[in-house]
Amino acid sequence: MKFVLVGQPNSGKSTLFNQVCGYRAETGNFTGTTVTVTESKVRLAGNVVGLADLPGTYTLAGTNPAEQVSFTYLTQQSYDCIINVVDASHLALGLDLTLELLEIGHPIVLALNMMDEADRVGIRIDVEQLHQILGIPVIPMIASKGRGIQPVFMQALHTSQLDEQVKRQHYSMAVESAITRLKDQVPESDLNLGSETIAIKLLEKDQTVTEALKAFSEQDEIRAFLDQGEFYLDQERHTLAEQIANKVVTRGARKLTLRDKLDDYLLHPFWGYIFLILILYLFFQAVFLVGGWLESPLLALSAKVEAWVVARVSSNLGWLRDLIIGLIQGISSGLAIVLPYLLPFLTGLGLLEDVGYLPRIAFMMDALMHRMGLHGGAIVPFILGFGCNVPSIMATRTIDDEKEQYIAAALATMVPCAARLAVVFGLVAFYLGPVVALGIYIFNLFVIAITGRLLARMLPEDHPGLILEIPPYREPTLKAIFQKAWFRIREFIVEAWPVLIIGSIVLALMNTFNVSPYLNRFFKPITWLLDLPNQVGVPLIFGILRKELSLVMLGQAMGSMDFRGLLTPGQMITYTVFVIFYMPCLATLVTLQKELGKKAMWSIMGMTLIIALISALATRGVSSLIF
Amino acid sequence: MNLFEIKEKTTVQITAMDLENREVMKLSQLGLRVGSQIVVERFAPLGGPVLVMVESREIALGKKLASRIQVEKI
Repeated sequence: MKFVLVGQPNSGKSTLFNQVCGYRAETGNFTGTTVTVTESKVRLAGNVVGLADLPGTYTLAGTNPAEQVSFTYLTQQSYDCIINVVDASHLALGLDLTLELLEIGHPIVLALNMMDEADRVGIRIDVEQLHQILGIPVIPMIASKGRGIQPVFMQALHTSQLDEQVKRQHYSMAVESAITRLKDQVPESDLNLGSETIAIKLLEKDQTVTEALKAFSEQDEIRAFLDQGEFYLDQERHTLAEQIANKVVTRGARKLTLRDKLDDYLLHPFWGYIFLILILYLFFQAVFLVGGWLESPLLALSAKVEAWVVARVSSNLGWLRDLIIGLIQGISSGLAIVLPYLLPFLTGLGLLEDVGYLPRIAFMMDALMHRMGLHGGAIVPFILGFGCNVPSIMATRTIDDEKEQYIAAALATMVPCAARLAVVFGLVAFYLGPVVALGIYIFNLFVIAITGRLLARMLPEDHPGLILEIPPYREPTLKAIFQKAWFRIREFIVEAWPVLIIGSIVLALMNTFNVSPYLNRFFKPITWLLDLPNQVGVPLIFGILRKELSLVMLGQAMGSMDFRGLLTPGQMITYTVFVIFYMPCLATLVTLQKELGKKAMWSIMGMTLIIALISALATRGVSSLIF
Repeated sequence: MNLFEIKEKTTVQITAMDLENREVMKLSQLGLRVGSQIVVERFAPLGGPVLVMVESREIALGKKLASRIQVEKI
């Protein structure tokens, strides 16, 4: 037994999936967060049911990757019921997709989501009448609050067992007679579709289907038939969807609430920017405050544990002793240095995402982003990049234009991810204060902006501009935010921490066998140029594996976790700036190669190295004047 | 008149769109079609996008795009 979740972007599909399956899918209050299919299993009335979450898509036309993935999945895979999630506050638009799904002919349950939102804007929907018109079950739901979810799934279970024929809606005479003429001639194929559905897709000139039935659609007679009339099926669906919506929707007065007035302040041409700066400033202060509050006692605890172990392990053990110490240091650095900042940062980011503030930043920043050869929409991969560069590069998939995607991906690798945040906060903020850390972030944005501007000039492209939905503000639920934060923190614990520990052990052994000096010599030109101690070479090499290692291993390389006496303030800042820019981490490089190809990966790698040297050198110069 | 020449808080109807197919399709998916009634809500500063409301959904449109959408006041 398997159900498939299908819905338009921002219809709350992934929210539903996460409510049912625990946190597995990335959600955010902006469009295009999911580009791949996420699968899971749920327990339902004694049955184990598979559940697939398809990427959000407006149609099944196959004009972008999300649509292709969805269409292929719906036609090639086997499943028992489609759960079509529709945003009740935009019924006419949502029904567009529903009408297309009906054509496929598989059992469908329509989940009318965000009923609370619809109510707020004064929309009432006659659910029973909608059910009568479409001939499929319609269940109201508020996924974010967990209401109506159980009924939707029970209905899906019920519907999938009924084995009733799903009927599509009827289109204009011209289209209907064309379908009738064509469907009897459709040959056998691998497409898991009825002949009528294939006929519709051929009339629409759908690429996937036309390609699959190449021999058939290229017959002179068929081609002439398809070319003679333009069949505007998408427009017919729009019109029909609007007619249906008009029948079942009653519009009352929009309830003006505080949320509607909020944009008068947050998107104000002057105050909007003040609030933007204020919000980001508070965000950083909070991260620093909570992080520092957690870090100090954890550092003290780690030091105690380490001292205890060092005192107990006999020095006769030789390299084994170093190995044990390396292990302890690896564990404690992850716990005491990285996690304290990761926790509040990811929670805060999740909050901003769920409330719906991120697309508003895109709106405010669009004019600026234009000067970097991007449009405001590219801000989404950027902001995801503050969590981790890997999903942010994956998100550039939604950018249609190749050059624009390259620019967006190149710039996204320079966004300081959570790992680099650990370096900025653990080193700069901890020893020099949060204002200096904020300064580094502002400098980072400045460098990204200049790079973007240069790239835009080198790769000129006439791009049309921003089309971005600004979703209503939504009350965040604590559960969703903590689930999301936990989802991302678990990634650190499972994937990054082990690497940190192994790296720490390897470094300890390298010290025992005295290998480090040779590696450091290799980095000598850079460390000399930037006026950094020789020992930082090894942490920089390991930083390519995981950026946190640049901080964790710095402690080992320098022989102490207390950097106060070991590095001058200027050196701390220069080192941090270099770590932020030089070379994306291994996981990011792999993703770059997968999404944009080898050439792009190498060019971005080279570019970041040059940028790191220039900006670190500039930092060295400036900080030597200040400190 | 194009969409970028309209004052804030005005209701207008789209009369023509001088855009590529891809964009027309994307806009139509969001409910912006020839004949749609929209409310111009606000402009972002520095030649930034315009925020319009169509069927209680808010959509931001970049300047270049908005200036190729012809509208008339109603």
